[in-house]
Order: sequence, then structure tokens, then C-alpha cells
Amino acid sequence: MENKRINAKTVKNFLSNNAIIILIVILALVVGIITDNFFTSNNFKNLIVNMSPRFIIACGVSGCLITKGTDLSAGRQVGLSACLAAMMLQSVDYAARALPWMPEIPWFVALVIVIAIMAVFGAINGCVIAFLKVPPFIATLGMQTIVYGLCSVVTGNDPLGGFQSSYSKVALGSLKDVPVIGKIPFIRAIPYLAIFAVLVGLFMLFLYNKTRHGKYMYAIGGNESAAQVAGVNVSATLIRIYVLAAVLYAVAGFLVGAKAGGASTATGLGYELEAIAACTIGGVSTNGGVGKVGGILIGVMVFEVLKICLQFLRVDPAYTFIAQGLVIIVAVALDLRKYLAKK
Amino acid sequence: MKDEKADGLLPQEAPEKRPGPRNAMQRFYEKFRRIPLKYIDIFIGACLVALAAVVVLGMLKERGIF
Repeated sequence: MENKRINAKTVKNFLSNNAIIILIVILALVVGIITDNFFTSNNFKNLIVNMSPRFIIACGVSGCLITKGTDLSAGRQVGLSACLAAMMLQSVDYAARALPWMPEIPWFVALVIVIAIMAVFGAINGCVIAFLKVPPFIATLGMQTIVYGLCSVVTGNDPLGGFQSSYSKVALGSLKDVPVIGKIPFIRAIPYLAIFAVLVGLFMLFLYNKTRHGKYMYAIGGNESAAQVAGVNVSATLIRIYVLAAVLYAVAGFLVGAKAGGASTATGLGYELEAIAACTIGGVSTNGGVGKVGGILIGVMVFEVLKICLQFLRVDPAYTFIAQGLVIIVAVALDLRKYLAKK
Repeated sequence: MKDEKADGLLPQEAPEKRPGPRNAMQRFYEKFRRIPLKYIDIFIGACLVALAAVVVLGMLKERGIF
């Protein structure tokens, strides 16, 4: 009898901890059965391509959430990154170039420049939070507005397009363009966007689990005062976290611009809320100290699968937003339930 | 030497106080401490029912039925 109660409790805990994931898996199975072309390689590739930049953004936000903070400027930083990359990588033949004096530069040079610029915004976020003790919600909310304003000033509110082919290829190309590797079946179909996401994921896995920085991050999230007493340089760690987050937003923005074929001040709008929701679904507690890269990946996948399922079910787009909002609320409620159950 | 009660049991350790100010999310979570888990479960259930209703309504709206 005792064993039965334990098993039922284990099952109940598993269900409550993974309710949203289970729900989305069931939804995907139902949609796959009742519609055509859901379980196809094209749809799967579409999922991977949509997931990749969002996973990178979620990785950036996760460090902030694990240390009991947040980063509401993520979406706008992604937008500014996309616009800066777009301005530097417009084709020299394009009539409406934002920087007519700019020579044609390799895409990776533009990426490095964008990363360097966005790292400054991350450092400002980190310093304001670490030294001025401004709550992360307020600091990043202010930065969100500042970055949006800067983006409007820099672009003149004009949409940007006409990219050079090498930049477009970053988002649209796959490993089939690579000599030797491009001949291996399955491998050749992997898009470049997925390669970026995999590299970021592996780096974050290493950082969170095998480095001192990762240990410090979880320590600060668990108990900041205790971490400080134990000798952790909390300020330096927080600054590093927000700088790294900004670097990841820069990479994601660069990829988003390439994927969309254009950029504007509206690029990246709302991405931070999706990233926070994905992290929460994936087990990153907004209460701090908890979170894994694998969980972040699952959270992002759940969100993207939900969107694709709703598209295949031909749900009115306005209702899609309501559904996503409800999923976010359920994710936070489940996180709250986990916290209260522990207490 | 640890202090022991007359019945031989060690005194329970005082619950660890959370040092430092709490952030907004922690204060929000702490407000729900006295609410039984049953009500949180009911809320989650209601949200899931609402989610299903929104999906169905969205499908009907797109098809022009609603």
C-alpha cells in the first residue's frame, strides 16, 4: 500500500512538473494525425530554423533568471543587433543603402562589430544592477526603451533590406554547401542557423556546468548573501552574465536579420517575453538558482511546436497570441506550485 | 557538546532565515504561501480549459463558423 502511494505521488509529481510538455506532445500527436504534412522533414526543418535564434536568446536570458533577475531589453537588443548587421551588410548595388560609404565587408566582421557594440549595453545593464542595486526589472525596462530609441535614431525608422548574398546565405544555407560534408546524407540538410544554436548550446552547457562562473551564477541565484560571504564576487559575476546575455542577443539578432531578409525597429518586439516563458517552461525558476540548458531547449521547442500546431489547426492569429499567453501563465503557475510544494 | 532534550532528541534547527531583501518575484511567491495547493491546481486546471476553449474558438473563427 505504501509503495502504491509513493508511485502515485511520483506520477503526480512528474505530471505536474512536466504538464506543459506533456500537453504539447499530445497536441502535436493529435495535429499530426488529423492534418497532412505535419510529420515531414520540411516541417521539422522549419521548426529547427525558427527555434535556433530563440534558443540563443533564451540562453542569454537564462543567466539573468537564474540569478533572480530578468532582462526585458532582450527583444530590443535583438532588434538593434539585426538593424546594425543589416546596415553593415547591405549590398553595394542596393540603391537605398543606409551607409553608402560602407565597403563590402565579410559577414563575420560585421558579426564581431555587432557583438562588441551590444556587449556595451550588456555591461551597462550589469553595472546598473550590480553597483547601483537597481532592480533588474527596472534597469532592463529602462534599457529596453533606450535601445529602442537608439534603434529609431540609427535607422531613421526606415526598414532595411537588400542584403549581400553571403549574409542571406547564413540563414538560408545548409551544410550541403560545404565541400565533403555536403555529400553526407542527413548531415547535408542541417541549416547553418542550427549550427549556430548547437555551438551556443554546447558553450552554455560547458559554462554552466564546468566553469567557476557557472557555479558562482547558481550560488548567487540560490542565496546571494551566502555567495558573497563565501567569497564570490557577485558584482563581477552579474556584469559577466549581462554582458554574455547581450552578446547572445547580438548573435541572435544577426541571425534573425539574415533569416527575415530585412530588419526594422519592430524586429525583436516581444522576443524577451517568449524567451522568459520558454525558460520557465524548461524549468528555469524565476525564483532563482535553478535551470539547465537542456530545459531551456525543451522550453523553446515547446513554444515553437505550439505555434506550428496552432498554424496547422488554422487557428485565427489573434487567438494564437491568447493561447501563448495562457501557456505562459500556466508555466509560471506550475513554477509557483513547485516552489510552494517544497515549502 | 550538543544540547539534547530530555527525551534524547536533538533540538530542531531553527528555520534558516533568508538574508537580504527579496526580489519582486520572491515577494510575489511568498504571498501564496498560505494558499492551499488545491487552489493553485484548480487555477492551473481552469487555465488549461481556457486554453482548449481558445484553440477551438480560434479554429471556428478562422473557418468563419464563429
